[in-house]
Amino acid sequence: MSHQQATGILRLGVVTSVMAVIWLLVLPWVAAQPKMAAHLEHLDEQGIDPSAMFYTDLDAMQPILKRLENR
Amino acid sequence: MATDESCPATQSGQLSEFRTSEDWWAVWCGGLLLIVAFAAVWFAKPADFSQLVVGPASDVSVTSPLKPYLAKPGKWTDSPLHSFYSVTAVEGDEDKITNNIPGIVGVFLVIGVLFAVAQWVRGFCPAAFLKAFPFVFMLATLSYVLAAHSVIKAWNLEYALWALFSGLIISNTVGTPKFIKPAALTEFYIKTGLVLLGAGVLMSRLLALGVPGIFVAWVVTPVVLISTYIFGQKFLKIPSKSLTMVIAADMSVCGVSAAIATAGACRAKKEELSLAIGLSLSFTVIMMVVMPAVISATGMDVILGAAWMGGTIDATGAVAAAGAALGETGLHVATTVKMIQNILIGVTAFGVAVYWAAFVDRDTADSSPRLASIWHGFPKFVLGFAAASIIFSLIHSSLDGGPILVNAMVKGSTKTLRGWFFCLAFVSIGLQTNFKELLPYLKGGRPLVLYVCGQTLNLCLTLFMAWLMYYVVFEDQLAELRGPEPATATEAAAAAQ
Repeated sequence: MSHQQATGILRLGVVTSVMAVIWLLVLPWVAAQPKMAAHLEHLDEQGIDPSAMFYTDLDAMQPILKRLENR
Repeated sequence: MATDESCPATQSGQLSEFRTSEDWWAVWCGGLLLIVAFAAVWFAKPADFSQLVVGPASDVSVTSPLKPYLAKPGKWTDSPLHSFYSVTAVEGDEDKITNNIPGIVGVFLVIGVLFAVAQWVRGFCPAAFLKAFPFVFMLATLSYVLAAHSVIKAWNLEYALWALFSGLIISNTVGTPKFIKPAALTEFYIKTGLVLLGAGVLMSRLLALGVPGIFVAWVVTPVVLISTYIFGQKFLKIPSKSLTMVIAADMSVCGVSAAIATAGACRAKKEELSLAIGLSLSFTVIMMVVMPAVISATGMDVILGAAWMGGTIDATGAVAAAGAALGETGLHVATTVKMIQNILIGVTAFGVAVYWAAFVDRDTADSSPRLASIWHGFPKFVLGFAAASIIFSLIHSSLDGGPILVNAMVKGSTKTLRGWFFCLAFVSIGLQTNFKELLPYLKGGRPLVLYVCGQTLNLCLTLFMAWLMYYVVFEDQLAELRGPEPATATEAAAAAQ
């Protein structure tokens, strides 16, 4: 294995480890904080996915569309 | 977008282009998927569907039979395994089991087989594609899992960002292995995804907020788009026209989806699309938090504020989150304005494609007639996108129960497939990009200045237009929209207490 390959594997290992810590430990901890937990519950109740890319990806649009279509 | 995956046979004549060009194959693949998806819904509808939908209580629902076989990793909070399989306790009822594994495998098989056949007919080696595709699909699945954490979703960090990131990690650490390249088909995935997106661009929903909605979403947006493009070219002198256009479109129309469509139409480079999306997502996170706070603090009318946010915050989901902070009317108005803007994607992509073919990409030495020259340079997949939009708009508006059928098709199949195509495209971009290639685009911070100036104009013009429409020209519609709801966010909060 060349030096360059070894460095690449090491870098990949470091990035993967940092990501694992963030996604498996930090984010679940953030989600459990009372303020954030309440915000997430509110979004769930309203059917809002703030990461939706297009209006058809948004559950909250369904009742609105239904109302508009029944007008 | 500028293609790196040129097909060896594309130059051999007009007819062979139908068989070999990526643009046409995106139309064939997207068209086939739309036909199958609509047929599935059509044959699954109740036998007396046409009578049921015209009945007095038309509460009919149709579900696509393809839905269980097409899925993506779901939302999770504590364990990423819940993205694939989860059991949710339901009070007073049986536990709800969500198993996304068959759906993810289904998507893998559908896209894998379809693209292997397409590559084979186009003259490429299908075995090479099939060998590489599982790796690219695995990275796309990982990206979806990263994006599906509830906090990441709440912060509006879309899967496109994580897909790009996953690919970039590989290409900038161990390097992208050669055997993966046959499945890193950025252009092909994007174009096919855009043809599927066309089915959701329903012109019949344009009048959802009446004439004022059209003015807020459809008059301001093109003005801002064109002004920002001219500003970027004439004043900031950004060297790349396509970068200027993609930033102008994602900022003025609707974020990532508009950036993808415009990048396809003006053949922007993959690095330009990545940069535009990065800018858009960063500002969306800020605007999603700041705008509702400003509206509440200034005591602005909910409808005016919601229309303002709907017309200016880039991402659709972020608009909903910000609109909901103003109450139910805020959510309704903000998301509907954004939906009307979403529909503008079709016109924008078509207009940009024609402009690029006629004025930007046109070979001055080309002696062929002007129309033939435009046709030659025109990205043909845009025709598939436009055709899907027109056909499904007609079905939606003229068929009995059309909205139910189109909604069932989009919700049950094409939305999921489109998401996977875009996710695969961004993984492919990441796999083909070196961080160093992104640096020249950031030189002098001009793209950032363009975005900030364009968004400032957008904020001013949208607020003015919303005020003009709802307070001056169509004042009567303000009361109709508001109903019994309080006028300001402060009043709504007081009423809630």
